[in-house]
Amino acid sequence: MPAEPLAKSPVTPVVAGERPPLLAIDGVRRVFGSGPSGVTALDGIDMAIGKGEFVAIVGPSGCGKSTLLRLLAGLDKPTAGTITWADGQAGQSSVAFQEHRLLPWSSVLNNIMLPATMRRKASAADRDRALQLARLVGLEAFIKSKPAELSGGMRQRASVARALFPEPDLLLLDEPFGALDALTREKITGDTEEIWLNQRFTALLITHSIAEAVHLADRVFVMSPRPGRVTHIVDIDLPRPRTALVGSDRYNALVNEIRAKLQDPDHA
Amino acid sequence: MPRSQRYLIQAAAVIGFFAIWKFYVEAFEVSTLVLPPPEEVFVALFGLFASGEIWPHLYVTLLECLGGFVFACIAGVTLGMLLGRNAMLDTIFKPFVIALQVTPKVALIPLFILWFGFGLESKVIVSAVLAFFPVFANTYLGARSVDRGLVELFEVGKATRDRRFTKLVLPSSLPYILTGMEMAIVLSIIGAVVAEFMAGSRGLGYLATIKLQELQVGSLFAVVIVLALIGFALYFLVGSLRRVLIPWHESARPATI
Repeated sequence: MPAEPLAKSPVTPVVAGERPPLLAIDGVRRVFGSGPSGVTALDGIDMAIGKGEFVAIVGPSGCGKSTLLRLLAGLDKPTAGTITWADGQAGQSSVAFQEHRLLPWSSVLNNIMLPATMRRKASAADRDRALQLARLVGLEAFIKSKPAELSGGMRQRASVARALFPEPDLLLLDEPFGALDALTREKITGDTEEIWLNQRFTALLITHSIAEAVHLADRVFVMSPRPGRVTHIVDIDLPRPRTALVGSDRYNALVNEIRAKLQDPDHA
Repeated sequence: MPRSQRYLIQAAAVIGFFAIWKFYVEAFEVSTLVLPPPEEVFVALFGLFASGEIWPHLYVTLLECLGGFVFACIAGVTLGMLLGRNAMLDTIFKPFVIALQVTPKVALIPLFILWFGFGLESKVIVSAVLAFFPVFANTYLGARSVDRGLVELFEVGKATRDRRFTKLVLPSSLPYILTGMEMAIVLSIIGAVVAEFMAGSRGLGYLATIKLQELQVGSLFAVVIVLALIGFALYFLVGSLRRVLIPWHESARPATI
């Protein structure tokens, strides 16, 4: 049974604030397989992301978050609908995956500058930038180490640094801190916000953690599964940096609001 | 178990082996034509080196098997990569490769001798043909086993074809290639020796047949020991490439013998 078209849902795709749009997702649908056995992973997704905006997508497992990310990364094509970049041609996106996906045979520094070396010979400028990013994520003492010699948190930091390397138009974070313990995770989330405040790249974070979404995002998209669709958009109007606000009443109120919307997708 | 204790046990086991050998020969009065006592084999082994008789043969066999091994590696890695990474080439050539793989290659030796003569060339080729398959098969497997997540990473980053090969496919296949090479070096020795048995005028395989004809069974055993030692040394050399080429891989960690 086809899902209700999005036009009837309470959601309207609005770009937050006065940011110019970076890309628009219109009526995107992705069906895996065909015929009656086909599984609709995404249906009627409309979304606009502004330049320099940090958006988060929260939703239960199987709601199509990762499918949406793969579409944005260009790893997959929608069955229907379009993804349109504001300047006409597809921008460069960059992904920090759930798993670190570092090359086990390369040092941290070489891993960070992989986005350059997978296309051309590394220049001195590439090396400088990789070093700068290693410093940014607190890995300057480990640039010569192999991934196997690092802790889980350090590997994810290296992975995020690598994703930042090409100065992507869109940074996609596919729950990169999901496998970390709660304390490390909170620390890295705070660090990520700080980096974003300095660099102001456009980012889309996919997460299970509502608290993480509230900490990082300007807007949170709440998704529901089967078929995956966006049920609510929540503006997070907390001042930044938000690390000090974690656990405050306003913070918790937003977390609770989003949790209620996740549990009851039809709630208006 | 501490390392020194392990070595002690292993040394005792080797000594025990020779003791049982000696005991068996003495107790059952085995003819020296069937199984010479260990000391006779050692005397023969010493004699082969002292008289200098073995050196030219050793040199020829080493040349043949190393030549064969090098050719096998070049061809095996190249073809393994091409077929492993290119669906079209894979479809076209897979039947030939399987046909050649299931053919008992030793049966082809007379043909190679017919084609390439009685000299060094035919032995190198036999050695290469025998050693080719493990390199090919493992490279092929490695080329197809590149981590899907890393492939995606290179896709998102719009990597060039060449760079994806040198930065991703080749390094991630290296552990497989080295496994193939370890198997290949042993087979390349077998190839060279068997070819010498059949049509040699030099080499350790030829020397073994001569010793058999002269009924010098002690020397025959000595030649076999020399071959085993060569195999051991070459296998060890190829195996230690792991620590040089893929120090990041689990298999490069020190193992126990």
